[in-house]
This record gives sequence, structure tokens and C-alpha cells, in this order.
Amino acid sequence: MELQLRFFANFREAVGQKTVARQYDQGTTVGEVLAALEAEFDGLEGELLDDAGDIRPQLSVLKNGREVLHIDGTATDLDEGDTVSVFPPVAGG
Amino acid sequence: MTGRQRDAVLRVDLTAGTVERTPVPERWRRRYLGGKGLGARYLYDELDAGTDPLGPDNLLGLVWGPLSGYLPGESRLAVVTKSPLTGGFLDSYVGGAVPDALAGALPDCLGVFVTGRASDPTTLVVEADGSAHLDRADCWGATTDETDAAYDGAVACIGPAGEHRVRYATVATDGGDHHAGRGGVGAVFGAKRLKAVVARGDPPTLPDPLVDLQKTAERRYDESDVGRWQAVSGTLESVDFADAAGVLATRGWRESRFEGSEGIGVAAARDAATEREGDETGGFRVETSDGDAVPRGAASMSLGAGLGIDDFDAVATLGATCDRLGIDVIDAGSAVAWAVRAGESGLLDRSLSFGDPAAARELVVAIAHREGTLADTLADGLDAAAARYGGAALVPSVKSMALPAYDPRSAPAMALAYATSDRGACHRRARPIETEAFDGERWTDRERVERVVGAQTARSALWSLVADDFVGATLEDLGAPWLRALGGDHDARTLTTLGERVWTLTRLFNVREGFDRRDDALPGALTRTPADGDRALSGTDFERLLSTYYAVRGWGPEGRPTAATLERLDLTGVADASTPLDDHAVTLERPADD
Repeated sequence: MELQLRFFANFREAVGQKTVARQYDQGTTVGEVLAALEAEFDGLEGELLDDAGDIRPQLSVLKNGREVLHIDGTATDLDEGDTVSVFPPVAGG
Repeated sequence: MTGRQRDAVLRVDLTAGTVERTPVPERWRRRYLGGKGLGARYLYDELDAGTDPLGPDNLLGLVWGPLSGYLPGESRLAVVTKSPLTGGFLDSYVGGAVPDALAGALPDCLGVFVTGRASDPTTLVVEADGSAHLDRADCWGATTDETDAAYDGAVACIGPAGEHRVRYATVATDGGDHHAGRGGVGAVFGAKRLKAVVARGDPPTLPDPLVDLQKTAERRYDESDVGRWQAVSGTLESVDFADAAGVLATRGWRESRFEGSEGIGVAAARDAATEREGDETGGFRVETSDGDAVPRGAASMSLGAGLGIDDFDAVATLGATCDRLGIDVIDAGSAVAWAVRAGESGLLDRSLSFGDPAAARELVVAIAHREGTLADTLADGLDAAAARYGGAALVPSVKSMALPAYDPRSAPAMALAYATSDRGACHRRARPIETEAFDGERWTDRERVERVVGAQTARSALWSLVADDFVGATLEDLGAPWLRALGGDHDARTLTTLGERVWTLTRLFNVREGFDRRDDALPGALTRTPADGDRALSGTDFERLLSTYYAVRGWGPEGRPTAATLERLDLTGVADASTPLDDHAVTLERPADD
């Protein structure tokens, strides 16, 4: 399945662009996507998940605009065409 | 050396044509420091209830503070006055070269206070040696960039909007790159026929005891979440955030996401940027058909998404137009949005459309010059337009000030922040939406209130120093170590109390002008669900939240401070006989964590 991945602020800088599309196996979870991103982009290594595999404090990860902590956290299922947005703490003014 | 003690202010009487120094009471310096706090103290002391904001008796202050020129980040000063838009207390902040130039030229002063009205257009000139005089301003009618170019030195000035007393006219610095944007400080300049303040001082020299503190603070900021965001995004990525989180007021508040946000956000700005400023501002400079401009998040949100314009160049050009005219981008965008929706509702005999930058620009220019009945009415603000034409709930305002484009319909704490802001709808005094948009579903009433109160109080202290918004948020103990290094005795606790004292003092000012709970009400537009969302705010829930806010503040059910709260904040004896107080504070019968 193809997912749209969106990055903001210093995460956007680390990835080099705001939006990328990536293919994943059907049934891939949010946690697995975040782990894959840490492996792909040097600037994201250690930034998204903590040692226990949970989303790091202060980060916000959205599935189609909804915070995944309000769904199933890192276990949140993803489907073809979903958009995952990854935010550092917002300080935009 | 620890720097010269700042213990005076420059007093300018434009009617008499005089300039003199007067001492600041030592008690005021200790309890209000400078900036917002000291400005509020002067305004409360010297203005009577009902003073015409555009009359000669209004007081206008440019106030800096004990740490001006020393703190990392942008040096800023507070422009304080009675607002011609809200009729209440107003503090609006601006950076650029002027704060350092004034603080450097006047090392013994904490600010400049102006009263009266000049017979002819006038410029206040402050020389490098601290002498000051009034000159005739030959550039009346000029835009902000033209005015800036007419003088040697750092310039704070108004454009045509200020001259025409548009109630949300700005005071611009650095030729329009920066603005004291909200609440109509530019209209007060214009009413006093004060075209510009020119300062020729060198920036203050950092005292030795502050050198290490500055290095530490810069490193702390660079490593902070705020610093990292600002370094790569500035304020421009706000539109990207607000769209992704579904809190972006779009097309006159009909929707809360904008399909064109990619085109007006940070990536578009980067593509268009011709110059990058220092990391501390994260700023860009772009070329537009109305000259060079500094695009800002507020412009992309209120002039872009708010007006359904998805072309970066068009939004940047519209922003540049506002900058040159000296008119606030948030209120100007909201005025145009209101006009579009009022036309669609049959309230106006003209038709405007969203997504039409040329029509938007035409109306903004007309507003700045008060050309025609509609523009002249809109120049007095949204509430004036609604009073004349109807359509009060089309576009939200608080105390007549238009809401910034962070849509709080899914973020009740943000609605509370707008409603209780002392100067009208402001996203700078507290901005809980940056976390509430993601995490707020789980927040209790009490948590929402404490986030709002905490931010308002902290910023009241920081804006009395006067600290940069972003760097200020990362200062240790609200800047207390800096004050101690200069011989003061503040700590985090005393500065928090000072912030609360200042916030309560501005409340006293507004109460004296007749403000009460009704002026903190939820705007009707926020009770309507956006077309692309499923959340709106409930008036009943909001009133409960507001009562909790009053309880935490120690204010009464009508939103007025009590004598006990004034005593706790060392404000006893400050409130005058024209300022009604509430007899008792709101008490919460059960924990507010319902």
C-alpha cells in the first residue's frame, strides 16, 4: 500500500521535503512506519521513537489529521492512501 | 559595570511642543519593571475612564525595559495606549532597529510617553546623546517604506492607514518589515499627528555580568523546541500546522482546513525567498509586485487561507500592501472576509468573492484611506460593520478585535485565551492550540484554564523585561538571573507574581472602562460547525470554562478582581473609585476536572 508521509519543521529539514510517498505491506502500523523512517533518514534517527518503541514525548503523529494517541498509538493500523503527519513540538507564533 | 540605572521616562506633550525627562517612581520600577507592566501602570494612573482613544488626552507609550538590548533574540518594545479598536488597554510589540536605538540613546530611560496633539504633522527625533526634539514631518501621506527612507536613523512610523485613523493601523519599523500590529496603535499616532519616531542611538553595550548569561541563554534557545522550530520555520509553518491539525480558519471561517495551504506555507516561502535572515527569526524576504516583503504566518493564514487565496505571490503581495499602508494583516484580512460573507448573505449591495486577490487588495487600500461608506465602516472594525449592516456572527471577534486564524472550535482553551485576552482576540498571550489541537481531547477544564492562565501570566512578566516572544519562552526563571546580575532581587516566584499583578492591572483598566463578563463571551461564529468539520463550541460549556478561569484568577462572577486578590498581588490602593470590584471570587464547588 502507498502512504503519504508529511513532515514539519526540523523533521521536514531532516527529510529534505515536506511530503514523501512510500510503499508498505498491507497491515503496517504507525510504529512500524516511524521505525522505517528512522532507519531511512539519518536526521530522524532516535527522534521519533523512544527505547521502548513508543512515540517520543511532545511529538504528535497524525493519521489523516487525527492524533494516533487517540486511536491505538503505535499500533494504529494504516490503509492504502492514508496520510501520516509527524510534528515536533509546535512553536510557530 | 552593570549598566546605568534606568529610572526616568521621556515625556512629550505634542500640544505644547515640549519634551522633558521625569523620574519613574521607584516603587513602580520595582513592581512593574518596564514594558507592559510599567506601561499599564502609567495608563491606569493617568487616563480617566471614557478617555477618547483618538483624542489628545490619550496617552501613548513606547516602553522598553531593564533588559533591553541585553537579551538574546530580537530587541522589542511595547507600544501601549488605550485602544481605539477595543476601547481597552492595548500593548502591541515591535522589533527592528528602533528598540535598541531608543534604549541606547536614552540609557537613563525606560520609555517615551506622548500626550496631546500636534497642530501639524510631527516627528519626534531622539539623538544619540539623548537629546530629543520635535520636527515638522514633511512626509505625511507617505507609505511606511517611503517614510523610513526619509530619515537617517531607526524609524517607527505610520502609513496612510494610521493617518486615516483606521482602528487597526500599525506602527511600522524598518520600513514595514516589523509592526506593532494589533489594536490600532497607528491610529493613535495618526490622531496625535505623530508621523514617526526617529532614534539615533547605538545599541546598549552588554554589561560584563551578563556576558555568560547571554551565552548560556543563546545555547539554551538554540537547543530548545522553540528554537529548533523557529530556526527552520519561523512563523510561516503555522499555516502548515493549522491546516494539518484542522484548526485553520478558511474562507471567512466557513471551513477549518485549506486545500491550498501547501501553496502559501513554508515550502512556498522557501522557494520564493530572496534572502534569509538570521536563525533567530527564521525569516525570509521575498520579492512581490508591491516591492520586497517579509512574509509572515499571520499573513498566510488571514490573507491566504482566510480569503481562499492559494497563490504565494498573491498572498505575499497582499501582505506587502498591508505593510506599506501600515494596516494589521489579521484585521484587514478579517474585514475582507466579512465583506465577502456579508455580500453573500445579501447584507451588502456589492458582491465580492473568496480567491480574488485583486478585489481583496482594492478593498484593503480603500479601508486604509477610508474611501467609500463600506471601507470607512470597516476601518472602524468588525463590530462597527456588523452594527451598520448586520452579520455579527459571520466572522468572530473579541472586544471588537478580529480573531487570528487559529480556529478554536475544536480547541476550547484557545477560545478561552482569545476571550480573556486583555487587548482583544490575541494568539500571543496564550497559544494552547499548539498542543491542544493534538492532545486536547483529554484535557480537563482545569487543565485548559491553567494553560491559559500560566501563559498569560508568564508573558506579562516577560513583556515587562521586554523579552522576545520566542527566546523569552526559554529563559531560565522568566529572566530572574539577569535581573539579579544587575542588582535586583527577583526570582521565578516574584516574577510570576509580577506577571499576575500586571495582568490584573490591565483588567482593572478594562473594568474601569466598563468591561465585564459579557466582554469575555464566546463569539457566536464559534458555535457554528465548520463545513468540513464536526466540532463547534457550546456556549454553556464555555461559560463553565470562563467561571473556572475567574476562579483561578481570583476574580468574581462578573470577571472583576476582588479586594482580596488585589491585596494578594500587592495592588491594594491602586484601584481607584471609578473601578468597580467584585465582592467575592468565584469558587468552584467541586473539582473542575469534570
